Amino acid sequence: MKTISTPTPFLPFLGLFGVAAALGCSDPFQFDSAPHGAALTSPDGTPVVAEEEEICPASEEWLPTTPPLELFQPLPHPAGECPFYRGAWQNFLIATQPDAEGRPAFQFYPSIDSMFTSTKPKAPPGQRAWLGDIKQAGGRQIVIDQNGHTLYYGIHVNQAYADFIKDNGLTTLEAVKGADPRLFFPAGVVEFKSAWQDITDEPAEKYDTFIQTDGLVPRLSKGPQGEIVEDRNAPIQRHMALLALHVVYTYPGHPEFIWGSFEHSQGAPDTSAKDKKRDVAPTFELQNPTDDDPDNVRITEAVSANDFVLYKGGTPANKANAAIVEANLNLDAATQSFPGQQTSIYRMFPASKSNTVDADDAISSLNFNVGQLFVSKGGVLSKNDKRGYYRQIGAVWMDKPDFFTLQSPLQNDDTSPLVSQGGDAAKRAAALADIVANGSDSASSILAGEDRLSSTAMESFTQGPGAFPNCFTCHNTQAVTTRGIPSNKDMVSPVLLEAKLLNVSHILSQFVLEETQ
Amino acid sequence: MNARSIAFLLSCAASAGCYLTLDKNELDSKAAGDRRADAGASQGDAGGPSEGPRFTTSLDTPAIELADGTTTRDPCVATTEQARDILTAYCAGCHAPPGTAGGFSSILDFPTLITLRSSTVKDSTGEFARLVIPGQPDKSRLYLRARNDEMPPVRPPTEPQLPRPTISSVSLLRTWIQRCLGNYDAPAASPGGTSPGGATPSSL
Repeated sequence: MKTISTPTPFLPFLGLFGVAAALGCSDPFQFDSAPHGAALTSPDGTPVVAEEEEICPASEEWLPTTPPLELFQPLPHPAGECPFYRGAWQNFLIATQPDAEGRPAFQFYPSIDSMFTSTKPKAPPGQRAWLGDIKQAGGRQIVIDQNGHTLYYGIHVNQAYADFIKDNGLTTLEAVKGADPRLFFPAGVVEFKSAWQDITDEPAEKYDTFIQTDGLVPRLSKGPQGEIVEDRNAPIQRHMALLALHVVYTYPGHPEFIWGSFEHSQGAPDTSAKDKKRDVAPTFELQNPTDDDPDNVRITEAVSANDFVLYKGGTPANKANAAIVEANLNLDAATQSFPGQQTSIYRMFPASKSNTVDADDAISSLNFNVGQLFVSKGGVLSKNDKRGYYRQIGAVWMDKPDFFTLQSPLQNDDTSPLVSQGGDAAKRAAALADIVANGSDSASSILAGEDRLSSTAMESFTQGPGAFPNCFTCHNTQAVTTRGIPSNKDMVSPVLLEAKLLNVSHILSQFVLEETQ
Repeated sequence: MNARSIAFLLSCAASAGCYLTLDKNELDSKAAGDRRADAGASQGDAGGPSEGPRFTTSLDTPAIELADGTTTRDPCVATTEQARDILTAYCAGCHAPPGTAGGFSSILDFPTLITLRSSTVKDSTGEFARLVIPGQPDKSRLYLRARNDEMPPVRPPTEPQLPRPTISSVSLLRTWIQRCLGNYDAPAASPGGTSPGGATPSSL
């Protein structure tokens, strides 16, 4: 966010510019007379508020071995957002800490299989796929990379999350379904959703900057209706590269989780999608989707001329972010691929924000500083440490977590008390207008951070504003259906779990789904 | 000159140093310069922004901001301040002087608070339940009553209902009890609803 201040306090300090120079300050910002920056006065002499950048530091102690996150409740707006982005980065670094073979720590964290007691026949660990769930949440579509392979997804949690499940006796289907609706996740729990690409047949040097591992993936087959069926109990070992990781964690006072998302980059000085270092998918840089074309169906120009992991160069925007109908996917069972088929994915909201295409300075500066941290610590890092080749896309959380309540969609719409205004139409319109203008920086926003945050590798097809444009559109405290989405978004599918505060994490509903399907 | 430049210069002046800059001994300045040059070249190759990185390196762990504008390095200082605010907002009206509802008025006197026991409810060991047990929120009567939406209690229909702490607030209280109350000495077990140190047993 931009921290806003009036120009008045600046004036007594203007004479200190020389002092500042004498102290050796070097202005990192280029002088720029372009009108995008706020001036001290407008042409008619009216004072204009100035927007100050929020510079977010990395921490020296994060490398080489990242320490646990300190738990405290950061202040809400107008205080800066840095602590939330830093928490996501620190948890990312902890989870992706490499072992001697370069495998990320989270690969060995607790999972649904290890936390819950299943009544289904399951192959023992080591003989069962720990990656899979190739159908994405929301629409259950399947993304196909440029090599004709689907992506594989993994879900893991930290030990604090697993301890919480155990301590509350939530390890069985009946216990989960009967969990106290008011029970909430305490501070310190973290869950991870990872997106992996099958690179078994790819040249090693092409993936030199990626976190890699050998992963057990489910054997795919075609069902009677043409659907893709996954068999986790008949896994195949493939060599995998980490494309993206959701890092979802709680702070004190934030039981709704802070939803951070990371994706692969070619490395520093990547500070935003516009730097063109992020190679999972391109970004449509010119504008956010508009009200009259929310899904960019009228945009016929290519998002990029270049190929990306999930995008074929030259694909027009209105032909991208479209899934192949499942029955039309031509699975080659021998190679476990879809020869000749691919989906092209691009990022619809360049900065993952509803009101601007410019990345937030807090996150841009933090990404920059983490990049510099890796450079400065290069001498003490393992050659297998690829953590520096990932960047935080953004994070979203509740700026006003007091509105984290049962049966709440957690959105900036009429369901928010700050928008509905008790039914006062004029106030409602004003609140909505302010949200349109200022996004999550609006005083009427219950959210903070990137309110249009999606992972191109995990929420590839649901980025549009009418679908699931931020994490909370799926992850809230309402009932959850078999599609893994809130019941108010899915009137057709059966309900898996009634409304609970714990529903904000879909690990519980995923376990219920696996047990009941 | 834009507002960003002004803000930066002011921060330099106000702090007698550039808070954005932390080259110190951490970065090899030559290497950093080389990298910036490389960065500009690679960005140019990629058709990206022509200017290089506009941030200077900062690797200082920032202090935690407190609501009063000060900062701290101790997360428990921040958490305790926030817990005190929550307890003041939701509990102190009845359980801090002059209030003595439930037989106690020490909701904001933390050393005393951790010595108090309920005079009506026993824990799983048969002892009268302690209101707060440092490190054990799930065994702390105060926490459980807040979490279970039991406090403040329902008032007669003729009186306005008192607001209850939000889930966010209860979450913070949990962390406070779990991690930040350990600095006070835990009392020895005390039978029969009396509390050590002569504190009044509570009917909470």
